Amino acid sequence: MESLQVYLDGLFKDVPPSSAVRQAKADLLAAMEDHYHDALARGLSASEALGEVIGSVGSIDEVLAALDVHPKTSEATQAPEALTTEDVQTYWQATLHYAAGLGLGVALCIASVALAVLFDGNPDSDALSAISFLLAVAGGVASIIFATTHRRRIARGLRQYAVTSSINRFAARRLEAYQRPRMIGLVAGITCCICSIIPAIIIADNLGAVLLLFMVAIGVFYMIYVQAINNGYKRLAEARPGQLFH
Amino acid sequence: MISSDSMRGYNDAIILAVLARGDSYGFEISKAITAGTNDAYTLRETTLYSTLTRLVKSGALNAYAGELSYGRPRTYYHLTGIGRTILAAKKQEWHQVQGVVTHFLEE
Repeated sequence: MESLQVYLDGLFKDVPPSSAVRQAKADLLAAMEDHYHDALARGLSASEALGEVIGSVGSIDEVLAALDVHPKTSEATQAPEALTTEDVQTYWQATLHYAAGLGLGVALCIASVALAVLFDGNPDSDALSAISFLLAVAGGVASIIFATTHRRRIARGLRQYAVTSSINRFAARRLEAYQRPRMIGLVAGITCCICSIIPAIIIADNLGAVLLLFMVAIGVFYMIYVQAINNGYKRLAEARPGQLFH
Repeated sequence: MISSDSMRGYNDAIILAVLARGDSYGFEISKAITAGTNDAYTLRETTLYSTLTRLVKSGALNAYAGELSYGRPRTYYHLTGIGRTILAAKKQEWHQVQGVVTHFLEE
């Protein structure tokens, strides 16, 4: 009965193999199979019989205690290693690249429309309009994907380490120090977005719309960039000491 | 259905009593207990197996490979002399426990 074997293998997955453990698994499997066939003989369906057997298995902890076997989780219960300042610097460096990549990606997607508008209207440059639009969108999406996967890879490598109170304080200081650049970046970004309306008003033709979109793209880039970096510091500054980095 | 907490401490004696009637294997012992209590008490498979393992370690039972069950040899259990002594002591203890509990709960 493969389902029971798979279920039992799952229960014993953290248990170091030994002859006693193999015998225990064989005996439990035999008892579970006997139970399963007994349930079928009582008129239960295959899925009901399987449910009844699995429901009656109990905890393997008592079996391991009887066998005097200790699961590998004893390693996992040891205190995890702490994050070092080098680890968090690596993470923040990756966050910096992520912020730039994400900001650039979104900005390129917005700018792609501007490029399409810029080359639009001229019969000779229709193809150029389409190509520049597609290239900008593709570049933007690639930049977002690359930025996200790179930072995720770095963050995953640090998940086994615990946040310490000194890392907490270190991150809190960096977060505090970053508030001024963040505010400047946000103000610059918002100003860019608001001022983008000016060329659209002054220049009536397509060029006005193109400048509007470029300015919005630049404004959005600034806002995303500073906010993503800020979140990188905040993530560690607000993590509880002792918990694993996530 | 009787909770396993209420029966803790008597699983050994119940299993020894079942095996005093003759050699048996895991699921048959479990069925004998369920049937003998009119479905009021069922041993979980892991509880049964861990109790059998402890009883083998203590010398109360002998384990041996018996007939094939669905392609695998079943482990049978045999009550030893030590097991009979333990069962007798458990029976005596149970009469004392029963007397004490009855005295207070059935006043």
